[in-house]
Amino acid sequence: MDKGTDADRGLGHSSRLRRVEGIAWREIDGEAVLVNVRSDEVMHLNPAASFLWSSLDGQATLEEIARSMTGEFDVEADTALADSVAFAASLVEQGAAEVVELE
Amino acid sequence: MSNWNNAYLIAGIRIEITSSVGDPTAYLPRDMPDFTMGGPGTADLAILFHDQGDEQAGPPRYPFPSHFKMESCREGLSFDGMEEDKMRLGFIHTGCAEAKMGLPPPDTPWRTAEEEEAVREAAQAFVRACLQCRLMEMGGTLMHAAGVTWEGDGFVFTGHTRAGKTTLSRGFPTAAVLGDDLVAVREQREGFALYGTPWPGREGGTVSYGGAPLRAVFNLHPGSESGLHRQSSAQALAELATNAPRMGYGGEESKLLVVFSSLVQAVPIYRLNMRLGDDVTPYLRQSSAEEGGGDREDRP
Repeated sequence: MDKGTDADRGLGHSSRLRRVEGIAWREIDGEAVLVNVRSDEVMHLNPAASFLWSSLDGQATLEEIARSMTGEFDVEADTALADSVAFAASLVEQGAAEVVELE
Repeated sequence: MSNWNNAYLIAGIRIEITSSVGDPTAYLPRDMPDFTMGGPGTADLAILFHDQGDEQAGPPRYPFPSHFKMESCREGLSFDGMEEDKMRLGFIHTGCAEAKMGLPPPDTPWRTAEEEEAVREAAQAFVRACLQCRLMEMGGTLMHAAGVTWEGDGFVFTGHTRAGKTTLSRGFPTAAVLGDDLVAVREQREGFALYGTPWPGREGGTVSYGGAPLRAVFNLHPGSESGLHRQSSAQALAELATNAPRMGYGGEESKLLVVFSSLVQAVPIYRLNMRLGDDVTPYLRQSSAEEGGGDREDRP
């Protein structure tokens, strides 16, 4: 999974993110391919990153997603959480995901 | 002025073009007449060219814009020219079976050749967008690629602008080259078929009404090393999406990914590393053998 350049970027374990409109995507054999219509960029995600991407529904926290990830992949909880926060930060930076503020 | 109309068959799609501004042939692709399909039939896609002044307040604006964008709007897609401000040029109805575009009459006394060329580019971009929308609805897509037929089968070579598509196409007899710039693929009952388009590029332009069965797609990577590598479905999808003609609108990009997903699961996709000018037929033979085709000379 790609690491964000700034692991914090305002994100924490309890952050909730959602995929932004304008990102076309398709998962095939557990790997997601994303097309950012605005920037014209294409991203090919590995299975763990695809799992996180498809879980960004604006409801689940990054911690909850990371916990689910340990059941799907051979990864320690701490590593899954750190990687999830870093990757989520990179998605926000690229304009592919946005933080959901709870009212 | 009476209506002009003509029917064409592109990638198995019957397109009927009607014009209330006179014969628009000068605005259409040079190779479009090759795709003329006479006789009765039901249109899969009906395009109307009407007088630009019909819907526009004030005199027609020249030159036409040189950049275009599709946007979702009520009941369909708006085809807009983008210059200093947005200019609605055409409209594609939901389902992409009907579309219309405002044009100046072809006998307009142009002030400059650039003005006429700008209208031609806009009309062709519109026809291309209509075709792509309809193709996607019918399980197909345009591809920025070279397409050739070899021993009765179709092969697609895609890649970035200087990946070698044109050079490679020159290694085939002209009649075998469907195009080196824009070809069409479409899912049929027995797999995908490959078709030429009225935008063949510099080489080829052979019309294939029925389509050739698509046997493999090669993602070209020029370099010093040569070799053929089968790509995973996701790798192939990512690469095809990278080289796809952009629609510039999220809803359409999603449809395109659906078509490409079907393609990568139905047709083997390879990464082809090769030097510019290399003969590609050994790779065609190799891909066929890997897919169980065996020695092609043994095939009936």
